Formats: sequence, structure tokens, C-alpha cells
Amino acid sequence: MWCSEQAANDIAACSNDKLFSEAKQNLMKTLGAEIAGKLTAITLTMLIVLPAIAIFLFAASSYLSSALVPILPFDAGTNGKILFAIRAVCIAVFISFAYFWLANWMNFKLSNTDSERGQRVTEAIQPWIFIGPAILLLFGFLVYPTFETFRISLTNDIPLLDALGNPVLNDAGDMRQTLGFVGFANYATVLTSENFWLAIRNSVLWLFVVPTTCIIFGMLIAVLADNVRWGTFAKSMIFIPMAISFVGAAVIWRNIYADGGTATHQIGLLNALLSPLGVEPRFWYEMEFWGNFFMMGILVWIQTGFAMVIFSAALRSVPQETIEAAEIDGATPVQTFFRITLPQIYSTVVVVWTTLTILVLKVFDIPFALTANKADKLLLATYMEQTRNSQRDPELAAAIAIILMLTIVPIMLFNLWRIKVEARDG
Amino acid sequence: MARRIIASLLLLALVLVWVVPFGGLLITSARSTKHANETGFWTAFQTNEIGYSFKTKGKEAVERIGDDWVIKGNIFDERNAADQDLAAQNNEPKTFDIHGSVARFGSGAANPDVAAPGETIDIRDGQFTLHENGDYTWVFETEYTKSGKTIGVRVAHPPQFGLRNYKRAFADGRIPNALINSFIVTIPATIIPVMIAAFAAYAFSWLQFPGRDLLLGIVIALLVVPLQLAFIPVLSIYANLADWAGDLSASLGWCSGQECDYPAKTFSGLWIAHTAFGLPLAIFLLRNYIAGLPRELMESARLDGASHLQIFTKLVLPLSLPALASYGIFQFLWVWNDLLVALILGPTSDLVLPIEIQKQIGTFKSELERLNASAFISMIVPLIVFLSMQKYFVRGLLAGSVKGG
Repeated sequence: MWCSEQAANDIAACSNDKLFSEAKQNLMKTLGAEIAGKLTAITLTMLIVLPAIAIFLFAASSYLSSALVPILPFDAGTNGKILFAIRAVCIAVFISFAYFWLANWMNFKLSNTDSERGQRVTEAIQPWIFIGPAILLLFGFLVYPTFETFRISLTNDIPLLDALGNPVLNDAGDMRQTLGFVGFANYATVLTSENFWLAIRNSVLWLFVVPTTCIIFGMLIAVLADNVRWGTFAKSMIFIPMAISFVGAAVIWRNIYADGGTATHQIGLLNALLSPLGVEPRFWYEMEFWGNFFMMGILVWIQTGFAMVIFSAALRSVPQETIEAAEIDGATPVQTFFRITLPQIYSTVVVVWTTLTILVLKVFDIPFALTANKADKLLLATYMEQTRNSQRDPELAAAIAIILMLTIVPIMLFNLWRIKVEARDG
Repeated sequence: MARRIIASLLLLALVLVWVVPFGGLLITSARSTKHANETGFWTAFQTNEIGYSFKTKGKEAVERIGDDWVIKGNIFDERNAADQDLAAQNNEPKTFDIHGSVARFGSGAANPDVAAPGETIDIRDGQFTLHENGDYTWVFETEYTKSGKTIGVRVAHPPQFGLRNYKRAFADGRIPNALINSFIVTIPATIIPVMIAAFAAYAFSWLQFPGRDLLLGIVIALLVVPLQLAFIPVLSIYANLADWAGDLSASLGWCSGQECDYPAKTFSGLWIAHTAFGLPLAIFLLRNYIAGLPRELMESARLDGASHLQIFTKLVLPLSLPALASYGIFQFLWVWNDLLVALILGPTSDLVLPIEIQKQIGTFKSELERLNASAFISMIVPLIVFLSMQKYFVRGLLAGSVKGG
């Protein structure tokens, strides 16, 4: 357009311009090809060189290790293991450092960085070296598996047919099976299985109880700790369970919930506390149905610290004037909290709620460690693992995984949307 | 003022609910088998009556005193000596000594409540007297020709604590092994994602390249994907890789037969999986931080001719150390405490601590003192990391309460 307007005035200049832009386009094309080529070269080199270095270092260090084993203080087995650990850790970390350094070095060596063109090429390749490992890993371990799991969830064992469409029989005369497309049959199987609905029932219970209880306790502790002198100490005590594993927490709470001991001594604290009230001693988390609530208690114990920390920070951000104004107007502390403070930190409550909800949907360790996947304690995650491992049915497990994701996605999307809205509103 | 006191009391009650279970773990882990499995941990600081069965000496110890045949001894000393011998034979650490005073005793393990200390009862036609300090005399009118007899004794046992369970856990081999395995898994699975994410975050915030915003959008969207979705395909990738590597080394002549069956579940597989699963949150957190670094700083460094690698290592890394520490401690705790990923993708013979503890919940049902000691050992490292870097952990929580673990 621009050229044709100019044409009347200065044909020569226009055609020059046109030529120039074509040349530029061509340059860009060859530049693109060059960038892609060099990037491929770097990638391939890394894929070959890095594992080779790793294997070489591992083999080379094994000599050093066998020389050191007799010198170290423990028995030979432990010494060997410790040296293996040191070698493995050092090599793994070194290799990932080496990638960035080597790839960068190659990038500068492959192009002549004195020329403008060479500089452009290295500049264009640079970001891909930096994000390359992240993108590769994310695609290999999250993006591809998501689609692959969905594909697997649509397949299952079907009779193997020959070219004429007749079933192929094995030596025993049974129909041979093969993996094939079954549409949504796996989902139908899952949706009609009793255990699935038990898992759903329990998941819903956990979803209602755990985030709510954590939020109530977390808020209560955050508010109380603001009002006493030893609040910081109290908060750090409540916070500590965040550091330990769910399995460790399960062992800790076993001492509270356990049944047993002698006629005069209980070893479970809860039984000891309740027996004066005439409650029969029992193994609390093994109870049919109600046992779920005692396992929820463990998660509440771990996660209340999280809610508390977030609320503590949020409470500090509430403008003091608003609270003082309410107090001057004669509001009681409870009124002030519910009418003035809570509305101002409402969005934080939502953050905590969504985070805990997602966490609860994925809870696996506690019921797995304590009840070995008993049917009435199943959750979605343990139900999936039970299907995959005990029933050896990865296709059904894939369907459950997809269902699990579908339950999480809406909450996550809500969360991301909320972050975006908040970022926009400042 | 009254309000303060009420708040204090209420908070104290809550703190107790949080602290007492921890106390239970520590106390149980330092008690003897008998104590831990028969009496509650909250009674550990008082004298407990515990039922024991002791075996007396038999005919080999009979003495002739006057007209009588007499067996003399001390039930505590004999039992403690025997226990120590047994422990020494099995190469186990020294056992807890039984000490205290006899509260009641009887002629069989099932009826320890017959007599008070100092009283005499009839056992196998002999007069058996047991004193409070465990000394016993057993007097017969005719020569005694049988072996010893098991008697039931209720012992008032004063509080007793020791490190035996910890020594046993370390002598056992499984716990030290699991501890080392946990380090092998956790250290690279913390450092590598931090580094990869930091580079990616720098590129996403300060470098120009086609498709940048789209890719960043995808990375953040991946926060949605639960790990469960990845397991089945990743497991089959690992199995295929192991097969392929086995075939390759077989054809190169590096191994033969069974040697070529490489395991599909390895430490390196676990590192890569943990790295990949941690990346979305890591990139999200670090990008928020690195994008907020001052633009003038980056531009002046560029003008001075620094390369991106130099800017990254000399400028961005030191400046974003707090964010790196925040995410690092997050990832460290997450990997150290992880059961699920290690269970599905980790080596089957080299277990990490959470799996080892989970197994012990089943096997140590009547050796709770050992279970509790193992569990405490598994918590020491994360507790140290957590307590020493709590500030960064809180900062990370506040910055990225998006991912649900």
C-alpha cells in the first residue's frame, strides 16, 4: 500500500525499498533457519554429552569410592552407601549446572559474535537455552502425561479379532484380549463401582470438615495470639507440624487414638481421657465411618498452622483506625471482628480455603498409612492407587485420575481468576 | 484484663493440643517395650505398676541350710543379667534394666496379685517368699530336683528413659539406609528445580522471544494438574527407557543376561519427576520475584556489555536469594516428606524414610517404642531446616498460596 502510493513520486526509491524489505525477509528466513539449526545442534549435543559425562564421572568416582570405603568410620556397607550418596548428589547437581554453562558456551562459539548477524543469532537462542529444561520437563512430565492418561482412560482389554472379525482363541480356548478403544466404558465402570462412591462420600466429608476446621482454628489462634504477650511463641508451636510428613503425623496421632495396654492402663490418650466418662475404649480411627473424622483431625493438626500464618499476616494489614473507630462506637470485640475485621480479610479466607481444598482432594498418605486402604476410608487418591496397584488396572486408574483432575480444575481456575482480578484491582 | 486472661487460657489449651502429641512421640520413643506398650505416655513420669513374669533359679542353685533345701536369689538382678547377655549375643544395645519394688506377686504369670511383698506362698511344696527389693527365698523340706518356676510379679516401676530405641534403629540398618536414601533423593530434587526454575523465570521476565506469554500461561496453567495424572504414563516411559538402556548395553557387550534388566524405578527417575512436578510453582513464584527487580539495573548491566549468563549469575541470583530460599525450603520439605511419588516412581529396594515409616506402622504394632523412635528420626532433618529457615518458609507461603502441596 505504502509503496504503491509512493510509486508515482519515486519509482526507483520504491523498488529499492521493496528490494530491501524482501532482502530483509529473506535474511529473517535464513536467520530463522540458522537459529533453529543451531538450537537443534546444541540440544542434540547436550542430550549426548551430558549423560556421557554423568556416566563417565560415575564410573570414575567409583574407583575413588572403593579406595575410601575402608577409611571411613562406619561399617563397609554404610560407608559404601554414604559415598554412593555423595557421588550421586554431586554428579546430579554438577550435570545440571554443566548444562547451562556448556549450552551457553556452545551458543557463543557457534556464531561469530563480532558480526551483527551472529549477535542476533546468539540473542535469539539464549532464551531457549534458559527455558529449555523447564519446558522439556513440563511437557514430558505434565503436559504429555495429561493427554496420555486421558487416552489410556479410553482404552481397556477387548477381545482380539483376526482379519475376518472373528475372536482369536488361545490354547485353552479362551478369547485372547488386547488393549483397545472402549470409549467411556472405564468411566462407566468407575461410576458404578461401590468403592468409587465411598471415595466420593469420604472426599466430600473431608472437603467440608478439614478446610473449615483449619480456617476456624487458624483464625482463632491468629486472633488470640495477637492479644497475648507470648503470641509469637504460641504461633510457632502451632506452626511446627507443617514441617513433618503426613506419615510421621500419623505415627504421632496413633499414640493418641490407639487402643490397647493393660486393664488398668490405656496407651491411647483419647481412651484414657474418655474412659472416666464411661466411653468404651476403642481404636478411634479404625471405627467404621466415624474413623474418617479422626484421620481428618490429623490433617487439621498439620494444616492449621498454614491458615494461621496467612491470617496473621492478613490481620496485620487491617488498618488499625477502622478497628479503633468501631471500639469508640462501643462495638464488642466479637462484633468488631465479624463486622469490621473479617470483611476486610475475606479474600484471604478464600485463598486459604481454595488451597486447603485442593490439598484435601489430593490427600493420600494419612489413610494409606493408617488403614491400608480399607473400603470405608477410601479417598479419590487412595482409590486410584488401589485400582492401579492392587487391582492392576491402570486403565481404570487413569479414568479416576481424570475425574480427580476434573474436580480440582474448577477450584484452581477460580483461584487463578481471583489472583488476576486482585492483581488488576491492585 | 479479664479478656487477656481468657484469651491466654484458650490459647494455652489450643497450644497444648498441638504440643502434647509431639511430647507423646518423644516420650514413647525413649521408653522400654513394656512401658511403651502397656502404659500411656502421659504416665511416663510417675511410678507405674507393670506386670512381669520372672523365672526363678532351679535345682542348680539349691543349697542345704540346716534341715532345709533353699534357693535364694534376686528376680531383678537375674533377669537384668539374662537380658543383657541376650542383647550382647544379638549385638543389640544394652536393654532397659528392670528396677523398682515388688508390689504384688503370685505363683504364675497369670495370677500376679496373690501376695504382698514379704509374704510367703506355697509353690511346688516349697515356701516362697518375695521381698520388696526382689530378693526371694524358696524353702523345701525335701530336695528340690526341678528347674525354675515362672512367677507373676507386679512391679512398681519408677520412670525410666533411655536412648536404646534410637541405638537400635541405627543398628538395624533399615533406618540409616532410608535416611541416606532420603538425602540422595532430596538434595538434587531441591537444587535442580530451583536452578532450572530460576533460569526460566529470568528468561520469562527479562528476555524477548516468540511465544513467551503463551508458554508462561501454559506453565501457570500446569499448577492445575494433579500429580496422579502423571504417574501411569511416566511409569511406562521409565519402563521403556530401562528396557532400551538394557538392550543397548547388551548389544554393546557391557552386560549379559540378568544384569541387563535395569530397574525402571531409580533415584534419577525420582529426581527428574520431583523436579518436573515442582517447576510450575517454582517458576510462578520466582518469576513474580525476578520480574520485580529494577529495570535500570538490568539495562545498565546490558550496556556495560554483560552477557545474560553473567547478569543472571552475578546480579539476578544474589538479588533473588530470599525467593530462592523460600522456594527451596518448600521443595525440600515437600520432597523429604513425600510418600506418594517415591512409592510409585522411586526405587523398590532403596526406600525413603516416609515409606520405611509407613511399613513400620504395620510391623511394629507391638513395639511402639521403636516405631516412635524411627518416626522421630525421620523428622529431625525437616525440623532443623524448618526451624532455621522459618522466615523464608513463611514468606514463600504468603507469596504463593496457590498450589496445594
